[in-house]
Amino acid sequence: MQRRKVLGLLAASPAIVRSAAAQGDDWSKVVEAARKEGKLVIYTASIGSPFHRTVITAFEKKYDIKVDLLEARASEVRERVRVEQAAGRFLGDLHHNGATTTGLMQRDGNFQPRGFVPNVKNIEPPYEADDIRIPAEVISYCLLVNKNIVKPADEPKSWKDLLDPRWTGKILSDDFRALGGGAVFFVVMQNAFGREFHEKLAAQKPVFSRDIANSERRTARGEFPLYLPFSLQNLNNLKGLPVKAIVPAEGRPYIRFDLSTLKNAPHPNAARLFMNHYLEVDSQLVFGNAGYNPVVKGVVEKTLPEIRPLLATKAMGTTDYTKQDEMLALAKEIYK
Amino acid sequence: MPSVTLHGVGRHFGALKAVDSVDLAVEHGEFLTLLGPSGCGKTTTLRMVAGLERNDTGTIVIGGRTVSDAAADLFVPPDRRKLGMVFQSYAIWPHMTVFDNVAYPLAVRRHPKAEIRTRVMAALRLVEMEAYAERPAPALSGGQQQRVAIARALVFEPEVLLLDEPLSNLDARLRAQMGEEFRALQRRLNITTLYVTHDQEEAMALSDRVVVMDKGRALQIGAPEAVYRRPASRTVAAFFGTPNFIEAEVTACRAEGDDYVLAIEGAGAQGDCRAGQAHRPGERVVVMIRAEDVALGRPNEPARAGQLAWTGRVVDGVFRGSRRSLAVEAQGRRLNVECPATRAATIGDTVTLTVDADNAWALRE
Amino acid sequence: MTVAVPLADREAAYPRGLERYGRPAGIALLILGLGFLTLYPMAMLLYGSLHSTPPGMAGTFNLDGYANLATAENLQALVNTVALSLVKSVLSLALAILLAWIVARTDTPARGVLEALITLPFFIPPILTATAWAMLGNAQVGTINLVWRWLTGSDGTLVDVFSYGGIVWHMMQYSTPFMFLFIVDAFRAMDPSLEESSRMSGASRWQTFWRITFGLMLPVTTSAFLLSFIRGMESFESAVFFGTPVGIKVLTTQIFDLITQRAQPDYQSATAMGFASLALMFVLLLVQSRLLRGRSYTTVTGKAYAPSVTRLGAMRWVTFAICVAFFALTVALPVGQLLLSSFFQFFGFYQLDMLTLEHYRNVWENRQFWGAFGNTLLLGFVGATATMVLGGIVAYITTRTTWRGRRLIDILAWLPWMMPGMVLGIGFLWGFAILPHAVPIYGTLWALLLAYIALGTPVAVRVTSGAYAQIAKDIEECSRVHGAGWWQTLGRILVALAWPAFAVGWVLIFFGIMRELSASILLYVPDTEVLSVVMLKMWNGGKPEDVSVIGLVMLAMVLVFRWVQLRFIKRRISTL
Repeated sequence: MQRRKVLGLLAASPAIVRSAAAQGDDWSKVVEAARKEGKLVIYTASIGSPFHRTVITAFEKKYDIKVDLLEARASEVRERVRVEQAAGRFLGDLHHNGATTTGLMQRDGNFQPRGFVPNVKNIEPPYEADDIRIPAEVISYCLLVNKNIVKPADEPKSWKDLLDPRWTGKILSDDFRALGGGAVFFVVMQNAFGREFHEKLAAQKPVFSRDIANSERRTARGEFPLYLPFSLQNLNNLKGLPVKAIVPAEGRPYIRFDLSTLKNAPHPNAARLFMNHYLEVDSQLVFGNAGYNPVVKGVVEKTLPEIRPLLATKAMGTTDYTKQDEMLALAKEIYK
Repeated sequence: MPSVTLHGVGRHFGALKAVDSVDLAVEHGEFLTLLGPSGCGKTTTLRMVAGLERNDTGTIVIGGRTVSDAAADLFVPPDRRKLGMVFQSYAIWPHMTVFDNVAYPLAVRRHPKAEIRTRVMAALRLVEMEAYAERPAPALSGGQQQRVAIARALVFEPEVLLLDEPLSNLDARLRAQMGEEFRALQRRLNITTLYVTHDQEEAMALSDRVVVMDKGRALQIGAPEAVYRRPASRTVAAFFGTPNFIEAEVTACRAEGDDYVLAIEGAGAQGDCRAGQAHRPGERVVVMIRAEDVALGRPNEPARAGQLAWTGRVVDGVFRGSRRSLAVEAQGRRLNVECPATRAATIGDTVTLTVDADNAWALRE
Repeated sequence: MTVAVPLADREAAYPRGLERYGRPAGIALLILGLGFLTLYPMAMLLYGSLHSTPPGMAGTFNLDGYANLATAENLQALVNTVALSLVKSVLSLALAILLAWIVARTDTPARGVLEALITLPFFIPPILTATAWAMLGNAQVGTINLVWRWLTGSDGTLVDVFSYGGIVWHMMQYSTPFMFLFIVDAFRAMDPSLEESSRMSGASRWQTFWRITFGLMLPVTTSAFLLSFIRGMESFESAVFFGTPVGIKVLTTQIFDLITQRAQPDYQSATAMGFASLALMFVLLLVQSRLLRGRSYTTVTGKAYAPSVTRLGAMRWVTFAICVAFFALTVALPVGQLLLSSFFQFFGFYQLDMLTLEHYRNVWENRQFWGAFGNTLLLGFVGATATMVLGGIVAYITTRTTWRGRRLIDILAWLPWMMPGMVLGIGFLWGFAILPHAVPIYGTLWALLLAYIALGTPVAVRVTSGAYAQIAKDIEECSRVHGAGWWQTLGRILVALAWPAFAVGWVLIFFGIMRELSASILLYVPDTEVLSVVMLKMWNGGKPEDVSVIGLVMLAMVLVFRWVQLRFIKRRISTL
């Protein structure tokens, strides 16, 4: 099975890539070629996401293309791609990962140009595509408060309200010194408010954890009144619990997830078709309703009323992979 | 054709020669015992025959088949040597019933079930254990385990039966009884048997021939009586009981039958003794006299011609039930004497000791 | 009597070539196989530690990976790691010996049931017990602290699991049953005359226990201790759950950071750290083999015996209480918390309107789960069986023969245990991926199976060699003389006698496979998903409650396994 895949790829794929590129914007031919390929292998760092699954199922139904999904954590996906390509095993087509990892992998030459994708034109700033990758969905970070402990009047309105002495020792946080939401939050706050903010926040003695699912529940149980940075899409999992998500006035830090075509992808047309499918309003609406910020125009307006106000907020900023190590070091320095 | 032949068989651990070039031929149906103190190499020899250890030198032939030839690098593993063996610990497998234990040699050779059943029951009958067939093995007494071990060793009707001190874990009475039973069984089945023990009485009672071993060498091979009465060396002689050794000088030598009769003089006595080889007059020899062969006479009782005779004083006496062990001091030396328990002897008594020429055996020094 | 066949015929029946070359060829094959399973991935890692980039990328050879290790932070992590592991191993060993003695050698009531219950904690996925303990023992609103405050009226904190103590406690829940499983059968198989002769020599019961019983069990106990200590040094979950939030660093969290917390994953330093800890553990191994050299630990002989049982009188209720307390603390509390939570919509929210069977339904209807469950069962059965076969052979060769090459085999079989799982997983990934494409390992179930066998072999070897060491040589030789070949003897005598140990090893490895994540996630492909990966997906997908349902299913499986196994052992004991 695997061997056939590899052999087929070695024999056929360069020809397909060239011909697809030559056809330019003749999209119907891409669709046809994709159907002929009949299969798509996606490597994703978004583990266990039901929304991802929904969008994939819709794609499978619509185009009759079977999708295999390989899920692992960001660094694991990255190393698998690297070692497979180094060993000449080109098994994956599409890569779905956070923008930082994707950027690093792009630098390492793990991808190939995606080719023309019609729906790219609908992408809404500040999200943007380049000739390798397209934005897929956006994780927005906000605050999670326990409604039983925090009265509406006491809710932080600004990120700076976190520095209020009433929250000393009461903040549960994703670890700023580890890659993930915590690090993104750290970078965005550093860019917005400078080192002083972090030094004051460090004095508030936040409790760090790396177990997001547990942290949210710990907050809901009242172990802590505040948790940050809360990934907005997790709100769905907490329905019925005494918690509330708050996007402070300055806006929400975010991290983009990108889709990009892996080098020597065995099913490049299917990959391209899937990129386009992902940017369809219907697909993006799935993510929007789930609490991810959509990346194309005209979707936020269609989302469910309870989530819409949280999505229709300012994108405050994101992280930059070129400064990652520097920022982690800074976080370690400030938060001992 | 001999059933088992050892030729130049040795086993070396570095510089130590645990077994040093042993030659041996066991006849078909013969009961041969390897006898010696612990560490003499007897068990190692047996284990080399079994194939549990590899001989570093020499060849071993069992039933006409060379099973080990150190020079040719030939070695047949134990399971293909078609042997039966009884271990000192019995090595009854605790996870099996008596039946399964005995059936094992047949089962591993894939004999048909029905045949196994009849042969196992026959073997158990031989050792009078058929009533215990379905018992779990560990629920047996020592003697019963012994019988099971024997049945297991016999069930395959092996070419040779090997026994490694099988009686040493039994009490004295049971030991004698099991020994006799086993010897009778062996005679009935006419099975070649190689037996290892350190118990001289056991060896003599059971064996057709005995091999006396010491420091890895076979010192003497012969019928129990020959080894006992006509030892080849002082070491062999000393291994059985507590014989007396008298240094003497040969004054004359003449052939008589296969032996020689020596006239000797030494230790304050004169007389004759026997020897296995000719000695020149003037040569020094050691004369072995078994304690039970010393006749105890009244004081000053005259000695017959050719008899060795001493007059001495009883210095120690031990009553042993069936007999009495005395120590007699004569001519400044201590002689061990075994006499009937009915012979009253008080410490301090003066006695005459006489020994027939046939009971004195000369050895080279 | 056997009919004498002419000499020439018999010679022909036994080909000399086989006699002469059969065993060396077998040994060579075994070394090759083990080498592929263990040395090969380790060699990939060694390359990684000495090369500026991972395999397949241009770079240079240098020692930077090792040079980078010498930091104060790493030293602190090393001290933490050794101290934590040592403390938990000592405590666990003491507790395990006590429990094993109670279960195997006293007349404590309900010993059979207790034995099954005591081993349960080992089989609960660590992520679940960690979650449960975080709920029970956090300083703010942990159930234990709430009860304590309610009882005493104080506002103090009785326990805080986010601490050194919490890490030790969490690790102990795994190492205690692990060691217990290891040593309990050794207690049972002890020839009582060895202990009786000590009592007759004037030793008290306690002296006898310490000098004879414990002394005779040294190979088993030191093996268990060493395995547990090493595993403790490689433990990740406990430290990351309870240590990271309060800044306690250990080697594995450092390695994890090197791989995941850099823009460019630093595989060179990560693998170098793996080898540094391997070197440390190797020293420990040498110490153990020194300790045990030249002594005999045979306790199962051909002679008859029945394991003696100490009559404790009224004290037996105390020992009973000890076992029950252990069970209550390590199983009833966390599992109760999980079981309760599994019927509510969310962990830790016990409101009537949140009662639901949704989590059970989710798992039941999850196609992915069932696919992975099937794969994992298949891998578990085949993997555990293959591992025990391999381990049984390796243990035989290393403990009961003087064959050439046995030391090498021993070391090869140990290797996987001495490398932290997350590093070794990378070794497997690298090793399998660069194989020629014609070798159908990468991307198939074979990759997982081979990795599982390699990971399980050290346990299999330790478990079986401990059991073998107690079987007298006679027992085995007797079989050879009576016509059984090497394989037959191994199967019918050694394995048959040591099978309780085999059964224990099998269960340990089976559930090890069910739980293994580090290598699995790097080696699985969409068709070959395994349970641990699916559980991670559910966990990350915000469904910890569903994960706890799976954990409970696994626990139920363990109960069935253990029950069946103990029933068989009992049947055997009753025939003794």
